[in-house]
Amino acid sequence: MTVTPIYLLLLFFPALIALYFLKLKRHERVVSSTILWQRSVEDLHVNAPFQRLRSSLLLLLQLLVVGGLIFALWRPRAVGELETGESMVVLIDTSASVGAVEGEETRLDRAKAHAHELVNAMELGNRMSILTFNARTRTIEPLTDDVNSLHAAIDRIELTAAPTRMSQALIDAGALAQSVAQAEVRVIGDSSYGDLSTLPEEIMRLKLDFHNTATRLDNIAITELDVRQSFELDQHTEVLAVVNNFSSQEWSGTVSLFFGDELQDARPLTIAPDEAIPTAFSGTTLQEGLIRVSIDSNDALAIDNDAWVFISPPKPVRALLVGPENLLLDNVLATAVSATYRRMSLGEYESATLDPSVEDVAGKLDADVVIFDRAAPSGPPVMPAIYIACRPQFEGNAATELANELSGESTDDVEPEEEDDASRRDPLYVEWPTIVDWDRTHPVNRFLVYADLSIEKARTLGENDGFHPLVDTDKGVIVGWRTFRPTGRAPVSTVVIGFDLLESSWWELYSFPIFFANTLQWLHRERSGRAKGRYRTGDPLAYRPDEEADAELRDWDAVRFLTPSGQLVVPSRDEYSNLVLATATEAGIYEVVDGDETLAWLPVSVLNDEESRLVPEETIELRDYTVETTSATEQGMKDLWKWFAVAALLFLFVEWFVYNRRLGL
Amino acid sequence: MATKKRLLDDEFIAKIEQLELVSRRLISGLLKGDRLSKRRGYSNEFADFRAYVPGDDLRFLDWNVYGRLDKLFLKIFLEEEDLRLSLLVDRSPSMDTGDPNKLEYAKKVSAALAYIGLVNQDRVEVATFSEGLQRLFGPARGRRQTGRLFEVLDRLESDESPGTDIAKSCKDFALSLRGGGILIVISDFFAREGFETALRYLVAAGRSTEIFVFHVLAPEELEPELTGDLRLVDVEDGGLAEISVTPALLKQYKQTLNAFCEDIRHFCTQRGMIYVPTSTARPFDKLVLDYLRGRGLLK
Repeated sequence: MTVTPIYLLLLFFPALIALYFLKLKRHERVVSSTILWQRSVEDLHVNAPFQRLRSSLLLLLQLLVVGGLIFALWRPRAVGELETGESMVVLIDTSASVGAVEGEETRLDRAKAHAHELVNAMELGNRMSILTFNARTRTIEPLTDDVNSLHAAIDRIELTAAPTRMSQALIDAGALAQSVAQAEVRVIGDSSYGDLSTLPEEIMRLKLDFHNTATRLDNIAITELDVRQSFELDQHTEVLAVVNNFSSQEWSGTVSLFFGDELQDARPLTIAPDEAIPTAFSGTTLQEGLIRVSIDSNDALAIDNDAWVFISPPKPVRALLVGPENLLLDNVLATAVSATYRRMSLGEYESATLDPSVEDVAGKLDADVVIFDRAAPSGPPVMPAIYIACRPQFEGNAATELANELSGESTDDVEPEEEDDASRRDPLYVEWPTIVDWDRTHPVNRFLVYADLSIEKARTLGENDGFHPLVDTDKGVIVGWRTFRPTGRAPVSTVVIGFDLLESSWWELYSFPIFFANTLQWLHRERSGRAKGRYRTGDPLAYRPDEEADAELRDWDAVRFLTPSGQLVVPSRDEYSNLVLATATEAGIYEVVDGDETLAWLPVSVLNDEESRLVPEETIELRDYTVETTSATEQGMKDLWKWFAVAALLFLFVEWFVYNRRLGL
Repeated sequence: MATKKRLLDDEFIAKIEQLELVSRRLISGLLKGDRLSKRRGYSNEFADFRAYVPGDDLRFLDWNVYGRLDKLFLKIFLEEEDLRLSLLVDRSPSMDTGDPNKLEYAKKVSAALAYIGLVNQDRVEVATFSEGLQRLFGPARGRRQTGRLFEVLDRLESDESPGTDIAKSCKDFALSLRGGGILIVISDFFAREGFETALRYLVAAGRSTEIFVFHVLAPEELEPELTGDLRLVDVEDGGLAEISVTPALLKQYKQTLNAFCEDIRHFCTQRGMIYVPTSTARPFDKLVLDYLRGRGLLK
């Protein structure tokens, strides 16, 4: 059994009472007789055994003093102040949600005011560090005892539109706090921090305080925006926006669509509390340019009332067909609206990709996607590819190696009968598989039904080869996709079809051309994904110089990113020569500029449920336990025991003085 | 004369000069005096007739009746005897407390009543008691004794010896009582053994004696002005009482004091004694001139 100091302290109460009764400092007074006094005292005790205790205000007050001292030993604290020698790492939330206006000021203003209070409360020997966090954590002021620097650092803090990534912020702050003895981490924000249940265990050992600067506010927000070419109507562009009502009341308003600066369409909307309604716009005039969707809501957070997307006319996918003649494929690629193709032999392809120093294989081959029809190269994939009745080569693909060994040069040198024998010895070889399911959510399978597809012979994809199933049969996966990461090159996605098109009924079905159109678009988009037309705040922004016709002629070191607020930012260049801005912290249109010339528009929107829901949490769920947040009205964090002790001593002094004066001593 | 003035001033003496003690009972004195006795005797106060029996004093035969009725009747007269005034004063240490002092107060009251008795030819005696009985003055009568009375009373001081044996003192005093009279006991009755036994002795001994019980208390005993945590020391026996003065305790003390006084009153009333409670805050001349006259002790 552990006896904590507090239990020992509780012994003070009976001790004080005992001392009170044993108080030896009684003053003698000679009286004519003590008979009546003794009788009175006895009568009093008989009638009320605790009368002395009850009636003694002095004892009661002394007990209160002792109680107060014991309470003081619990180290009661008030928010914001530090003890001598302690340090504090202050984490200030600068995500989009703290831009919400509460009364006359934003939540960030409140947080900064509280941070100033903390700095003002610092005593000699205290040190403090100021960090901000949104999607990234930034150190605004390293650990210092310079109050002026801390105040200046707090004043420098600016609002962003980025989302909150609290876990990383705590890890960063924790690393700083653990390097200092007696450090405390104080998080000041709106208490909407998402899931923190997977924090590292060492973070749990920190002294963590969460200070909430927010109250519940009503907000209407655009939380999703997407644009796509209409599949039903040529030349039509569809814009889909989702409007969310994060308030306790029904909202009625208008959602408007702008193309450039011109209003294209507007829809009235009525949304019940805590519900979301999708709205679709469609039009032929939306071909290339900036689309803005806006809601006319005068709510607490304005930044999420607009969302942008940049649309451009689809560029035809350049396909490279490698393999023997295949009229079915030729027809599909020739009729595809959004693709061009040309043929190349396997030998030419392999000689072109033989040099590993060539990074831009696609540029050298002048193709976006390569289709290997019954003829796979000996090396691993180096660019997006579709493998038909063959497999990509990669390390660890034992089954594939076995199959290739068995099949050999089946198309050229082996007789059909021998080929069949070899195939039948392949453990992945199946006959007449029945389609049982397909991934309806994958872009490749959009609008597709495989129920009528008949396949005579196929080779299923190995379960351990890392392929994601696209089409599944009763005998295994026959169509799948996988992303490869070749050394020194960008990741490439591949789609593998495990059967010969000529040995199936697929060419008769309407899903056949759509599948190839979807797959070419998807592989191409995966390849050029960094240059998409819509970003969320907090995302990295990237611009591909190689998309520029005059890529080699431009001085890319002079290219800048112009933020929506008008600041020019120098981008970094990644290993693929993309121009990259690590985090988009503002909502609006980022421009890639070279002097006065704008090379691209990169629209950034909030589109984040967590940031738009302005409902602070009263408790924070950490790894193993729950922490209650302190509100903005709770002030001070200083150890208060000194004041309790001083008050107790003062009280005892006054009591002693008054007591002796009353007795005339 | 200086002694007299210290106890009683001339103005007060002049006021009490005309007063006399009154006993509601027919007294039985030892000497001839101014008081009617219940005994038949030789005074001028006619009482009754009775038939003559041989041996009666022929001087008291009513010859007029014999002339008319031819029968011998004897006239009976009330005896006139002197009044015995006994003053029994407590001089225990507890009486030597209070402001005004209780013993001083008792001495003045005793002096006044004894003076009245002496000037009215009453037989006056003064005794004190503490650890034991001490006969202080008398029995004496006559105005000439007043000087010695005042001198004795003035010299009277409290007994320093611890403890008061009021019962033994009263018993001794009661055994010496002869005939009727007035007995005045002046005390605060603060005795651990109680007052009942002592008063019973006095009642038993003097059935024809009219007993006045003067209960003298000081203002600080009636309204104690104590505060804080105190150790009270009994001036007589050194007994201790540790108290923390609170309103509740003060209230309880007053209840105890009232009950104490009421017990004495009840005891006295049941036995024909007259209980006279007084505070030393009350001027003693008012007690003598107003209160005691009102109670019928003086006229």
